[in-house]
Amino acid sequence: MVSLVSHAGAHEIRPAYLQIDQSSPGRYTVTWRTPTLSGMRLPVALRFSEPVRNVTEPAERNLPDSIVETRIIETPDVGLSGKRIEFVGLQATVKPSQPWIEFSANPGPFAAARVYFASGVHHILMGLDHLLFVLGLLFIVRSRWMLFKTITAFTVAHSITLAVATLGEVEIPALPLNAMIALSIMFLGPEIVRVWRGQTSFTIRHPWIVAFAFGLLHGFGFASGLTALGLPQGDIPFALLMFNLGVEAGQLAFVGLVLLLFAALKSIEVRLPRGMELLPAYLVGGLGAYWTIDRVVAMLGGLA
Amino acid sequence: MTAHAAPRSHWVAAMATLGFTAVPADASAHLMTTGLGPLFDGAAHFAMSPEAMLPVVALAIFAGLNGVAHARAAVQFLPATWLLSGFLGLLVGPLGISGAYESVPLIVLGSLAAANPSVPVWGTASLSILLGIAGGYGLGSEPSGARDGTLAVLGATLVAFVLVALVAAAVLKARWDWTRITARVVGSWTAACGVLLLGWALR
Repeated sequence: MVSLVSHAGAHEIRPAYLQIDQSSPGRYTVTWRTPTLSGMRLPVALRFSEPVRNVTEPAERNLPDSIVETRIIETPDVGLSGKRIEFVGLQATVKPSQPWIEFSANPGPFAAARVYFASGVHHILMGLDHLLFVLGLLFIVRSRWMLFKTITAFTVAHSITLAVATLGEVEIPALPLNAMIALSIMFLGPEIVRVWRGQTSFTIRHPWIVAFAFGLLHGFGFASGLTALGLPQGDIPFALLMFNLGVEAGQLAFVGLVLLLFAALKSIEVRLPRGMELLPAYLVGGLGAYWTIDRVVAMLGGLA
Repeated sequence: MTAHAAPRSHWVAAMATLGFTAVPADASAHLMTTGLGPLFDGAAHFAMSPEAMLPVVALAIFAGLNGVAHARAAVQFLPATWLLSGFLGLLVGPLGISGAYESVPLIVLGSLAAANPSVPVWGTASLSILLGIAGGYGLGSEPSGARDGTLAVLGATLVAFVLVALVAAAVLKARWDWTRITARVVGSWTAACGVLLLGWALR
């Protein structure tokens, strides 16, 4: 919901932020952040429609630029479907066409598609380990055709495991899976060094095979994001498709931006300073090693 | 997806964006919450701040019009000083100076991009450093204490780096007169925006 004051002349934008997380059936954690200006808070409060009730009273936390209010609510019947949240006071400060939001009981296919697509984009953008793996691959591939094959192989592979994991055909515990994903990133570090030294290896000759193999692992990681989101009964293939499309869109946007940046830096003739040419390899390999150790420790701690 | 049909689901229900008029001295704040974490919040903060983004575009145009060495100086010096100054802003906090100063980079760099004077490479490097110090400090001092400021500064710096590199390279590649003229027109608009901002701040 975007509402702009009719007489707004300044360039300032101060968004309020509402997040609702479902913690169990019928119970939700509500986070409501409102900006402050000169110590005054935005005079907008939340009002939930009946029969939503507070389990805990709103707890406020003052930040330098905003006030964060947290509370737990619950509904006795069918969750928040069909319920409305009103932003009381919003109509006094701006000219909103709709100072409320309503949780549709029967969202249309477009609304559901948008949720799963956005979640896919969100998941890949938040998954720095997935992005770092893709970045590592971009340092290894030597031609456009190989780039196409490698990205396609990674996409096909993670789509397969995303589907089988989401449908419950295969299940891998999260801790060892995350450690293996970190290991896949660390694996690319030495390969980037070999590329820079003009050496070759199986990975450098056939990066698409490596991308496919490790892509299978990363797909299981994506599945955790989708299952955490929740799946609509009877509409799982549709949710799976839209989530996967969101992941691909985010991944392609990232690849496109990195390739554009590579081309720009090449045309400007920007090179890493002498002695720092291997920085990308150390960055990818070092972060991969850090995550591997961190996740293995977490895994062993979980086992102990 | 309904909440009923998807137990344990995790979803962001709504993001309300509210705009209201503010006094000029405070007019640089853009409290951004993307829901993607502080790195993306910092990047979005930069992208939603025309007074931070437009001077970077103008500098990139100016550097690109002057040649490879100038573009390289801008790409090397701007992000480095932006990052360091951002961290300094994070530690020290807002300086409380008039918002009118925000218009200076817009006017100076916009005018330079429009006029396209020939300057030595160290001149472009100096402008990049000055903009990095001013822009980085301005954005870095804003998120302090509210979120993970370190990642927010890093996010803003990454976007500044990508923006200056892409625009400078695009201008550098401009082969036809009309594309170079278009780039200079963007510079003149940036300067005009600066004059408007100055007028607003001093009204």
